[in-house]
Amino acid sequence: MSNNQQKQPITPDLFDHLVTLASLELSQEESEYLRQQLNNQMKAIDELEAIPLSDETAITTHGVSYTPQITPAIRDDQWQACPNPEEILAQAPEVRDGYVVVPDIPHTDLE
Amino acid sequence: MELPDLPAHTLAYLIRRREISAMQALDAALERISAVDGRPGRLAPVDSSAEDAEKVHAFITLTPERARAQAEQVDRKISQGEDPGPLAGVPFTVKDIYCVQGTPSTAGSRILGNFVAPYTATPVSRLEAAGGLMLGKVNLDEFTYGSSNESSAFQPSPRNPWNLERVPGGSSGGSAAAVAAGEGALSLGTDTAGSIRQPAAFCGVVGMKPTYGRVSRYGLIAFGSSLDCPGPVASNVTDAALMLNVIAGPDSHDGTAANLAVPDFTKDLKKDIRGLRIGLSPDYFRITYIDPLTGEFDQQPISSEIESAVLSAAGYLAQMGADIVEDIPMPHTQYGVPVYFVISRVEAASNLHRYDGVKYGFRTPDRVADLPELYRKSRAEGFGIQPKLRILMGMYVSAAQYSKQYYNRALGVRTLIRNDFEQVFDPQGEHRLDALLTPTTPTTAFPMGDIYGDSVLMQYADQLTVPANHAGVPGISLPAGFAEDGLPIGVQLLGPDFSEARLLQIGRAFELASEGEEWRKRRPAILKTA
Amino acid sequence: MSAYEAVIGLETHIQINTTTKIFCTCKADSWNDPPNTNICPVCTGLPGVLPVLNGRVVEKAALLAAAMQADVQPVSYFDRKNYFYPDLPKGYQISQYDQPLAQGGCMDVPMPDGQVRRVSIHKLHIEEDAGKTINENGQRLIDFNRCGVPLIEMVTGPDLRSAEEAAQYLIRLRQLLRWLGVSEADMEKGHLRADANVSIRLQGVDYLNPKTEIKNVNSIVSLRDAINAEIDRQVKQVESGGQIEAWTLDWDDNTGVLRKMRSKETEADYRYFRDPDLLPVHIDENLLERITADMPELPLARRARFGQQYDLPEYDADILTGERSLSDYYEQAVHSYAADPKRVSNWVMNDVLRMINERSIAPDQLRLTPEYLAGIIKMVDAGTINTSTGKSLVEKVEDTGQAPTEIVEAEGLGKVSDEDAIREIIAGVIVSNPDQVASYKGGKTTIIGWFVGQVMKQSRGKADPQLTRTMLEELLSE
Repeated sequence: MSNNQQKQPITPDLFDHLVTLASLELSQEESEYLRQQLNNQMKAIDELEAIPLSDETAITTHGVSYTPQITPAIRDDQWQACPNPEEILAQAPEVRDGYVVVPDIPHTDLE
Repeated sequence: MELPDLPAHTLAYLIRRREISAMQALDAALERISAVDGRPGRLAPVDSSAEDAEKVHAFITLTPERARAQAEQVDRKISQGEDPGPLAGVPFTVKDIYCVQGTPSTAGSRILGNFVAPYTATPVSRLEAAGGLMLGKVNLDEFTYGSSNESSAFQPSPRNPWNLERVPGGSSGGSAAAVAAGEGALSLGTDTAGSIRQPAAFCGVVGMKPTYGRVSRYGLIAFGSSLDCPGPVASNVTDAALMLNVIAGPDSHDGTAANLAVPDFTKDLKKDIRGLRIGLSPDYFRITYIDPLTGEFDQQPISSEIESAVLSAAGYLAQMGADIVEDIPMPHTQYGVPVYFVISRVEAASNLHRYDGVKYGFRTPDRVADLPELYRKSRAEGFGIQPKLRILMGMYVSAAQYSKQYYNRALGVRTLIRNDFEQVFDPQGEHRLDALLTPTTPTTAFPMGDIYGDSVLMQYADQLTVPANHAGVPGISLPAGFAEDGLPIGVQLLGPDFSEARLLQIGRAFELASEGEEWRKRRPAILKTA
Repeated sequence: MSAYEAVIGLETHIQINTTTKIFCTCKADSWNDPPNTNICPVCTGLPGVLPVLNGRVVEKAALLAAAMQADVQPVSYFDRKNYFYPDLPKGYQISQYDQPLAQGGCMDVPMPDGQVRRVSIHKLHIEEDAGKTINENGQRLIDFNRCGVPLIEMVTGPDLRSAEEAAQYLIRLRQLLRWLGVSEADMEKGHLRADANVSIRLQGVDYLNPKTEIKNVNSIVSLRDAINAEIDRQVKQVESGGQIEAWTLDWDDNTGVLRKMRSKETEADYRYFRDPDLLPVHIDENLLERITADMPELPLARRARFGQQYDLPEYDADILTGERSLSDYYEQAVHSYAADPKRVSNWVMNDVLRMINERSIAPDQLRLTPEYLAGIIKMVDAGTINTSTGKSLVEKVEDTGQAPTEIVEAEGLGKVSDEDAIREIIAGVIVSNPDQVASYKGGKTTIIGWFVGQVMKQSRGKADPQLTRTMLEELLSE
C-alpha cells in the first residue's frame, strides 16, 4: 500500500460510494470536511491492527454474559393488539386511503 | 432550602406525609425553570439573544399539563389513603432520546423534529407509575453523538449552571444541567460512552450507568445498541438508588433486559464499607492516544487537580474502613476509544437507516423525481453533521471487505477490555476488588465551542468512561470537589456486573465522610443570580 | 435446447402460521385486514423499539428442518441485512446470515415420468417479512401489515433441471408444509413464495455459469412459465454470442414478460452484522426432541407405504396422501373396514372426496366418520342395501350425523329382495303401461331398462336391480 493510501484510506471516490450507500448527499464543503474527519479517525482505528489477538479470542457482542439464569424468557405466541395503530399512521408525512405514500422507484424494462 | 433543591427522597417523604402537596412541588419546579432556564431549544433558524448566555436552556419541550395531571393524581391518591408510589410528587426530566407518548420525541435532531411518539419508553412509564411528575424533555447532543451537547439541532444548547460559558457535558447535558440547577430533582439520561457520567461530573451531580441489561431500553432511540444504558441523574446517591429501584428490571419489550429481580438499592446505603477492596489504576490517570503527526503512541496525564480529587476521595474511603489497593493494571483501557469508534459507528449507521422520510419525522419539502432522491434529500437535510460522520464511518468499517479487519477485530479487542475487568474483580484472582476508583473525566468542563478543536484531551475524553460500556459493567460518577476555576470535579466508581448496590453503598459512604466539606455547600452560579 | 442444460435452484420464502409475528405481538395473518391496521411500534420500525423473539417460530422452523433431514444448529444468530426499501421500515431486515438455524438436508422429489430428483438444501433460516407496496400513478403506496410476519427461507442447491422439476419441488414442498402444520402454504396469499435462480450450460459440463434471479412468481403455473421464458431468453442470448449477466428479473404474470429489476446486489452491500438487540437462538437436544416428538409420517413416505401395504396404484396413493387429514381418514376407514383396502379407496376417492370438495369440509371435520363409511361399505357388501343407496347414504350421514344403520332402518332403505314384493310392483307397472309392454313384445327389448327404472322408482330405489331385471324378462315374456 502506498504511503498516501495508508494515511488517507478513504479516497474521494470511496467516500462518494459511502455517501451513496448511506442515501445521503453532501455539499463540496461538507464532503471534504467529513472525509478529513474520517481519515483522522481511521488513524485511531488502525491502532487496533497492532493488538495481538489470537484466533481463539472470542468476540464480545455484549459486555455482560447472558447466562441461562439472567437470559429473559422467550416470548409466548400470544396476540396482543397495539391499542393505537392510527397514531402510528398519523406520523406519516403523506397518507392516502390508509396507505403511506412515497414516490416510485425507477425500473428498467428488458428488451 | 427551597423546594426545588430538596433531594427527591426528602420531597417524596414530605409529600407522603402531606407536609407539602405534589402540586406545590410542581409549582416550585416550574417557577425555578422559568427563573433559570430561558428559552427552550428550537430548530434553526434561531436568532441569538444576549439573554441566552445567562440561562441554562436545559429544555426542548416542557410538559406542564402532563405534570399537573400527574400531580393531581398523586395528591388524590394520598388523600384517599392509597399508595402514591415511591417517587410521589417528585418532578423529573427526561432526555429527549426517549419516546414519550403524545410528546415531541426528537433525539435532538431535525429529522425527528416533528415526531410525536405514539408510545412511551418503559423507564419513563415506570417513573410515572411511581408517582413522578414529568416536567418535560431535555436537550442532548444530536442522537447522543457528542460530549458537550453543542451538536443538538435545537438551539440554544444547554449551559453549565456552575459557569454559563462552559458546556454541561454530553450527551446527557440537558439532564445534568437540569438537576444541577434544581429543574427537577431527577433526570433520566443515557450512557453509551460516558454520556451520563461525564456531564454529571461536569455539573457536579451524581450520574450512574447501570450494568447493561439492568434497565430496559424499550423506547430509547437507539445509537449503539450494545452500549446504550438508561440511567439516573440525581443530586445525591440516595436519590440515584431510589430512581434505579423504579426503572430497573426485566421488560417483555426488551429481549436484552436481564431476567434479574431488582434488589432494593437503598437498603445497603447505610452499611459500612469496612474491608471492601477499592482499587486505583495508573491506566486511568493518563490519556493514551495516537499522535496524529507521528502516528506513535503518546501519553498525557489527566489534570493534576482531578488526580488530587480522586486520591482525596480514596483517603475518605480509607477513613471509612475500605482497603485502597494501588497499581491495578487495566492495560487495555487505551483501546477503548478506537474500539468504540468502530462498534458504535457500525451500530449507529444501521440504527439510523430507518430515518428515511417515509413513515415519520422529517421529509424533504422539495419536489423529488423518485424515491432514492427522497431518501437522500430527507436525510441530508434532516441530519446534522455529527450523525452524518458516524453514518459514513459505520458504512466504511462494516462493509464486507473491511469487516474482518475492523468490526470483528474491534469485537475481539472488546473481549480484552472486558477481561481487564473480569481479572480485577475475580473473587479468586490476584486483586479481588469490589470496585475501582477512577477519575470520571480528564478535565473539567471546557468552554463552549472548544470541542471541535484539536486538543487531544478532548478527543479522547471518553477514554475513562467508555471501557465500562464495552464491558457492560456498572459505573457511577460522584461529585468530589471543585477545581481552582470553580468547576466541579467528578470521581468514578466501577464495579462487577450487577453490583450497583455495592457502588451506591460506597458512594454513600463517601458522601457521609465528606459531608462537612466546604465544597458541598457551594451552589451553582445560576442559582446565585436567580 | 438440446445442446444446453438448464440449471435451476429455488429460494423459497415460507410464511409460518404462528399466531403472532416473529418479533412483536401483532397477528401473523392479516390477509383480510385494511392497510396499516395490524401494526405496532415494533413492526413499523419506530424510533426506540426492540425486537422480541416468538419462541413458536423457532419450534416450527426446527420441525421443518428436521423433516427435510437438515442439521438443526444448537446455536444460531440473527443478523441485520441493511438496505433501503420503502417496505422495510427499519432500513434493515432481521435475518440469519452465516450461522442459520439449520444447514444441509434434502428432499427426494418424484417426477411425473417416474424419476426421482434429489434436491439438496443448502440452508434454512428464519427472518422477518417486509410490508407490501402497490404502484399507483407513479407513486408507491405502502402497507406495513405484513412487516414482521415470520418467514422461513430455504435455499436449494442448483439441482433442478427443468421448469417442470422446479414446479414439482414446489408442489411437494407445499404438501409437506401443510402436512406438518408449519404453513398454510397458499401461494395466492403469498404464504409460499419462490424465487428461481436460472442458468444454462452446455450438456455434459459440470461448472456453473452466471445466473439470473426471477422474482415475484405467484403460482406454480407462473413459475413454470417464467422459468421456461428465461431459459429461452438465455439460450437465444448465448446463441447470438451474448453474455448472461446476473440480473434480477421481475415476472409480469399478466403479460408473460420478464423485466429487469436491478443488478443482483452483492452481499457486501448489505453489511451484515450480528443484531445486538437479540440474543443467540439456542436449540438444545432436549428442545429438539420435544419439537420432533410429534413428527408425523411424512407424505412421500406414507405414499410409498400405502402403495405397498394396501396394494394401491401410484395415482390412488398420491391422491389419498395429498393431505394429511385425508390420508388419516383413509387409513382409519381401512382399519375399520378390515377387508380390501382398494374397495375403501374407491369410495374415498370418489364419493367422500367429492363431498369434501363440494362442501369445503376438512376430512377430520366430517360427520361421516371413517367408521361410518366402513359401515356403509359393509352393508353394500352384505346386500343389505344396493350401491346407489350406499352412495346416497354417504350424503345422508353427513347431513344428519346419524349412524348409517339407524338411517337405513328409520327410512326403510333396506334392499328389497323379496321376490313377491318385486313381483307385485312389476305387475303394477305392466298393467299401467300397456304401450311400453306392447313395444317390448314387439321387439324393442332395450326398453327393459325403462321398466327396471320404473320398478326402482316405485320401490324408492330399494329393489334389487339384478333380480328385478331377471323377473321382468320372465314376466314380460309371458
